[in-house]
Amino acid sequence: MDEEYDYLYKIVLIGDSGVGKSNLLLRFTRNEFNMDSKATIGVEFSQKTIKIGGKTIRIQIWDTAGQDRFRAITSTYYRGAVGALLVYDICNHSSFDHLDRWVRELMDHVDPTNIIVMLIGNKCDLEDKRSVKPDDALAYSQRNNMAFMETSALDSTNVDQAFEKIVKLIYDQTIKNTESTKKTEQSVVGPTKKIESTREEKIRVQKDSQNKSGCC
Amino acid sequence: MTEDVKLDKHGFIVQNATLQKSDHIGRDNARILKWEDMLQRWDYNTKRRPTFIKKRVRKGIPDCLRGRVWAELAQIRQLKSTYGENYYKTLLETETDAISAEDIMRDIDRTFPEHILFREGNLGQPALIRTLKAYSVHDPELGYCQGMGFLIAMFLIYMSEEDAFWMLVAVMNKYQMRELYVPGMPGVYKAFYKINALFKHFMPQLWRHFRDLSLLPSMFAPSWIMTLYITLFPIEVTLRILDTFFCEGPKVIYRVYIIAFKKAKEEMLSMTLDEILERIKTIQSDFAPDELIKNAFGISLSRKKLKELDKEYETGQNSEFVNW
Repeated sequence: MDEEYDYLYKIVLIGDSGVGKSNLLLRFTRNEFNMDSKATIGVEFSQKTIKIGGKTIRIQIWDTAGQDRFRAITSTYYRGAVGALLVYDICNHSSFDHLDRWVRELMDHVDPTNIIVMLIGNKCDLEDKRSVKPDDALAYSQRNNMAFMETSALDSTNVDQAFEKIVKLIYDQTIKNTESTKKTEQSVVGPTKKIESTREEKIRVQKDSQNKSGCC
Repeated sequence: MTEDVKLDKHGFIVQNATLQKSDHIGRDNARILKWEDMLQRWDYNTKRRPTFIKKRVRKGIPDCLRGRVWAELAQIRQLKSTYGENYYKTLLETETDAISAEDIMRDIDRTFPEHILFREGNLGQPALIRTLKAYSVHDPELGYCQGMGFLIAMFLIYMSEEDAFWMLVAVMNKYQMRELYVPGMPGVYKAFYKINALFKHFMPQLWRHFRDLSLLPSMFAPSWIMTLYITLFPIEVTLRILDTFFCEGPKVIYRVYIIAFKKAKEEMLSMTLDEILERIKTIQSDFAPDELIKNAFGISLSRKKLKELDKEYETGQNSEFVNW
């Protein structure tokens, strides 16, 4: 479990209660689905290591309780996140209507210039119960500059793809930010000891030496 | 429901049911008789022999008397007489606010789905809905909060619907759980403050390690404290925790928290944050029920100490313990 990795990304799962956040995570991290899943109380931590473009990326994922009230204790976990999967249930229109609230909540706690948000319409196996049209969701995601996918944690549709997509987007942004010598510190969280030996650090060192005159 | 399922003795659905015969039937029966006897003179015993009751409860309440004893310990008879006989019925006839009702319904399938009573179509689900709705009418400021369902479901396994409702009222007020659930969840912060302080006292090395890693109790423990560990431990352990909770109050929450790390402590000292969070996911299997309770009560933790920490939290917090 103590694998080496090049990058460490923190991603949060947000969205209304019951949209399937925990099962998305379970499908992604363990390829399982729990019919008898329990409501998440507080936050739950999971992680997985994947490869993107030859790089090993450790993803730390924080799954948060969906009930409004829990934001009093869960919003601290948005801090330092570089990605957010914003999840709604395609069969539950109010979970789609609440997206703006979730986005606002998220942006209050993260660096808005350094976070990739991806919209996820979950439960797409339940086509006959659908109440959110893909076009409406797509329009919403485009308006808000987000990637969008419909997924099914139950039958696995697009789950890996969605996580891989957001990680790829984060990776691209990290590289872009690094190259344009923006600060990248916030895109890396967690045990810094391990990261120090990675390319990320080397880039940072180079960057720092290029920017001696810049303030910090 | 014609589902062919195998159950353990508490009604939880299990994969391989080997009907567990107790190795100590004689002892168990003797214990039940002693408890019956104690219940006969309950008021006398609670007044005159509280330490004796406490000792017995720590050994575990016989399952067949559990509901009755919990109800006595939580003094729901008194509650009922304060509010009047028809109070629960009146609550049921009152409309629940729309948000609570929606939140309640969403969680019904997600509360003890592994227990036969709460399978779809069985009696537990409608009772769960009614009791939670009644509570939200009874206490509109709190309404419904996730986590409450696990508590009341546990009561519904052991007692009548109305008694289960009164147990929840007792838990919220007499046992001071309400502030964990009300909007803003101030009780959660307060509990973590106390947990941090006690953890430093009883597990100084691990406390320092957690602090260095910025590993916070709020990363894994909200559900532990909000559901009295119901969502964490296997049923046998949970029941023993609840037994002592009703007898001695919330102190057991802190005892169990500290002891939960006892076996994992050494390995955790050399782990990273993510490794520890992964290890915590298996922490519930570290102990047998008796062992956990025995260890938890081996800790010397006084009511006075908790009161002091409460006061400290209200009046002048030690920043070391405010790390959320």
